[in-house]
Amino acid sequence: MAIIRFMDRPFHNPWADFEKMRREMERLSSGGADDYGFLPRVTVYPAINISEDENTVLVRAEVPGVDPADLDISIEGETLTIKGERKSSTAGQKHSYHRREIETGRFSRAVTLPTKINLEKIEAKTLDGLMTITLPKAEEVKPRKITVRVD
Amino acid sequence: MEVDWNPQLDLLESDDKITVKAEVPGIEPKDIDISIDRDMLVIKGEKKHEKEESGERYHRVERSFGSFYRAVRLPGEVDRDKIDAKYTNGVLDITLPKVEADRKKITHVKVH
Repeated sequence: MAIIRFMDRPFHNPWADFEKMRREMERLSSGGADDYGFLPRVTVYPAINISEDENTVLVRAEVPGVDPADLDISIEGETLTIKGERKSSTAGQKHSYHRREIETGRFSRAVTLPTKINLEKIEAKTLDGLMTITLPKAEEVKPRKITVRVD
Repeated sequence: MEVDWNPQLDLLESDDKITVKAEVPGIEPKDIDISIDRDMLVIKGEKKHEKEESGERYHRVERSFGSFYRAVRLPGEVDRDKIDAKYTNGVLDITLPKVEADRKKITHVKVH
């Protein structure tokens, strides 16, 4: 067995092993005959990734099955709010549910943006249930290159 | 098998068909693999990581990536040749018509 010093691991998340153990326990105790390795997930909706590069902040939110017309995005200061409604696609049909895990109803989620935004040029698009909001940074917070003058 | 996440799903039954809906946002349809083994419907695939642009720093990561897997037992026999699957707006919609023999087998029970 190779001995790896704790600090030498390429990436270490001290909680990863606990999380893995918890998932295993949950899998064992759930005991469902028709579910294999069901992993628990974040209950906050929608799941959001926020990243930034030099000039823009990118917010990606998973909104599967939501009509883009039912999405409402607003910004106040540095708070971005995503509101919308998940409608049932099977309403009015005659059927019975064996499983119902996909939730429906209104949702509202607010996140703080990492920096000031140029409010004039925000763009949002959805593709395959993934919404990408592109927020250009305000001019005053964009990184500036400082040239060192040599006399 | 290493599984990174499991999609949420609905399983509905009507007189003539079983419908399975699964939330799999941000995936190309060609990366979804649907199969039936006896009465077990298996949905699996791979959600590729979002394009990492050079110098992109993350502040918040909640989306799941990597391989996904979900297996559900179907509540009746289906016509395997007529299964239809479509992917719209991040939702996978699988329609499985029931076999004729399985359609009208309802026994009503009287409550005294």
